Amino acid sequence: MDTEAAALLDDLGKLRSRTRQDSHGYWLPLLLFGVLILVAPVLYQAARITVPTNGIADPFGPELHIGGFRFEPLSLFTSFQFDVSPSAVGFYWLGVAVVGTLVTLGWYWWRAVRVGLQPRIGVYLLCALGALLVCVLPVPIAAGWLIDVLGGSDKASVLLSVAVLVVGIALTALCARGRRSVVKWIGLVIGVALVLIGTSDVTFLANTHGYGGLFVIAIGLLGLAWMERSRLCGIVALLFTAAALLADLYDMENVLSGFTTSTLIITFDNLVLPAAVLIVGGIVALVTGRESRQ
Amino acid sequence: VSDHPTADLDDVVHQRHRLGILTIAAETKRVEFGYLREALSLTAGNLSRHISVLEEAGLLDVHKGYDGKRPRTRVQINDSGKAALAKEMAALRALVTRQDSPDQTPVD
Repeated sequence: MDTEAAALLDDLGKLRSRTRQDSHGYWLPLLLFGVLILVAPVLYQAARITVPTNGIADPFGPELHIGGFRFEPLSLFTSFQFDVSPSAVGFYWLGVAVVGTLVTLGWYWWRAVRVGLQPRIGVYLLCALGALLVCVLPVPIAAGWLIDVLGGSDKASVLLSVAVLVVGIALTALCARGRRSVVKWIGLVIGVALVLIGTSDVTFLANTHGYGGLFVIAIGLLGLAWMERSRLCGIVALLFTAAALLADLYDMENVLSGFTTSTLIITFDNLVLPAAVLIVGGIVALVTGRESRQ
Repeated sequence: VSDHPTADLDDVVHQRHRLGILTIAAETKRVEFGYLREALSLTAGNLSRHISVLEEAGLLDVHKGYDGKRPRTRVQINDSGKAALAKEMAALRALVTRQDSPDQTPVD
């Protein structure tokens, strides 16, 4: 009986691995987002504008008016380069996030019909669209106010923002478990509020180059890795997140090209690493997936 | 009541093919009848019977529909099914652990 149990567990393990392998389709979104990021420098170059002597009229992209309140929803997606149209690049990154997510959904729907396995795509959708919503609503609305409350971009203020985020995540996770009570509901609301505050401030502080679109893609890919239960996809998503942070915080052209004023080269140098992570990850996923099915 | 791990084995779930159906269904949101038939090397009739047993036990939900003119049957594991699968896997692992370390076998 015990030997039979071991054999049964072994068979079930193989069945589980095979099912996961058959359902994996993340190579396409990895390649898609990688190519869309790699194309961005060309768009930046095409969106170059002559800067008027009194500065650009809309440095953070188009404004939105809600009940007399003004904010710039695309401010995380606009460029730090003054000679690039903020609206053009803002709408490009918004388009990348929305179209990329829709194409990914369509891809998994098509695969579900073809392969016969329908994934839990809601996890990915929640992460991708949730991250996009956070980037276009609470971050632009609250970031300016939060910078005043939590401090500027010095080390202590950054640590305070991260601490708020961590406490928020811990409180949310604690209160989301088990049976709900009034105390837990209150804790959940406070936890979610702290997560939003922490996320808004951390995202704003980490977005010095205006590549906020990379954060949206990163959160979506982490959700995709969770949905796919794939170690490789998880590693690619984490590497991409690190590369996105680097692209947004460090002037990569200093390492790759030296001093330059070319919009094309500066943007390419900053975006080539995150794009390469996704393209290489996508190719590896495609090749290893095909090999294991043969 | 015996404390032997076999006491935790559920007759409905413990059957090899039904355990296979639950294992595959737990990995995804919904799985098609055709995929299960091919993955478990079962005839359509046999698979239908196993799915009916699991559905009647309240462990699976069966969705019938169409893709164009083509009829499709999709199977979805529910919370009871997930719990039953987890319990069964734990019992199987306990059996294997018991085999690996016979000194821990309690004396009745």
